[in-house]
Amino acid sequence: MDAGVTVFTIAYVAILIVPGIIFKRFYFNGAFSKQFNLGLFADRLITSFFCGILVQIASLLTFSRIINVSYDDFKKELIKSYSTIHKDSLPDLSYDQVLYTFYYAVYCVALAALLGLLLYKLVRFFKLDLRIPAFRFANQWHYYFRGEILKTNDFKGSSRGKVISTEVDVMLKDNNGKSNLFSGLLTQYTINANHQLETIYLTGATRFSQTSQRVKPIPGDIFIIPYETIQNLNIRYNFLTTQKKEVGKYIVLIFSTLLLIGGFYYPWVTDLVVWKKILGTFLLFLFWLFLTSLIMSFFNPTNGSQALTRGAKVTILFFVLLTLFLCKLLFGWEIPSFLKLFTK
Amino acid sequence: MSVIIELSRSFTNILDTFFGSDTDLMSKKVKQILANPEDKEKYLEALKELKELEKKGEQGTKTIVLSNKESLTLTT
Repeated sequence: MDAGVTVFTIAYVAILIVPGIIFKRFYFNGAFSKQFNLGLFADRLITSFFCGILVQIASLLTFSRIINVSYDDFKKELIKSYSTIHKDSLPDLSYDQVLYTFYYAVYCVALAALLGLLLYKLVRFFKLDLRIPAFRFANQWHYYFRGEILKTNDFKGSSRGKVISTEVDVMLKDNNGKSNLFSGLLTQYTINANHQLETIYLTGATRFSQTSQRVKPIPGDIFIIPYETIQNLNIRYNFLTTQKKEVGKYIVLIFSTLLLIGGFYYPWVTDLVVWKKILGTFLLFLFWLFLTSLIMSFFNPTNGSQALTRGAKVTILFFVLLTLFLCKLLFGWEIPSFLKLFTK
Repeated sequence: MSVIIELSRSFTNILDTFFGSDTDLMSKKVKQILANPEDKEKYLEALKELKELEKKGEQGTKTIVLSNKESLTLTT
């Protein structure tokens, strides 16, 4: 076997396919995770290859900044190693170069995961999957069960508020051929690899009694129904009347998202050594968490959270200032000139 | 001690907003309601009443007050 071909085949799989697979693993997550294995093998291979190329380009453009090596030097080393392998011999790598190769492999994997997750969050946050069919995930059940289908063009205007839960009426057929009607709040469902419904889970389930001609509650916490026993399914959404949207809150969330992305990015473009960059990322993440918590505490609490007391707000402010001070020490930030006026 | 609990709740809430799953079938509010037997009963009763209205071909709203004094207005 030609050694060159073997080495390049392994390199092709490791360098292009693996980051592509990781990118897709993180893009298809939550209710859409089964889509990762969906489709023809050739299809999945080609899309993984394409995603892998994107991740490799992003990695090549940014990695040299992380290890504080200029892009040209990094490229020269790559070309040198490539030509050595092409001549059917192993490149003479120094200890540092092996270490950098290891860092690069880890970096590629981490970047692939981060980019995949970021793209997923962007698609979901801007509801691109509801607005543009090309972005729609294969799990159609999610859109029906979560009530998101009402926001698509096909059902525009059907929504009467915010869907907070979904009720289903299920007609089941028993062994004697009799039909039975069950209802309840849909809490969960499972699908198989082909996105066909397997099981649904109901809370607060009731059944319609044929003998007494009335609805009777079913004692228990979760009522499990295999989909194969279902004849038909009626979905009813429970709406919460539309509340006035807090525009300020959405602006803060967008600002906070940009700050978070900036916080993850900034330390890696500084000239600090790698461990300081990792520490800087952690400190900026803490700063982001404290600052966002502090700002959000001035808005109405949602989702069962409670308003913060004055003491808690002061404590968070202390942590904001502390992390900011530690970041200043680490990154050597200068105080902006307009603020120096106040320090004189 | 209560400040620490408050802070941990606040941080968890922020992390959940940014990194939590957005594909849960039930909203966090309903999960919170179902975790409390008293609120659960009120919620299910309100849904039952709205369902009856819907059967009659009517539209309406139903307001329930939860045990934490928060009020929710549900609609058909």
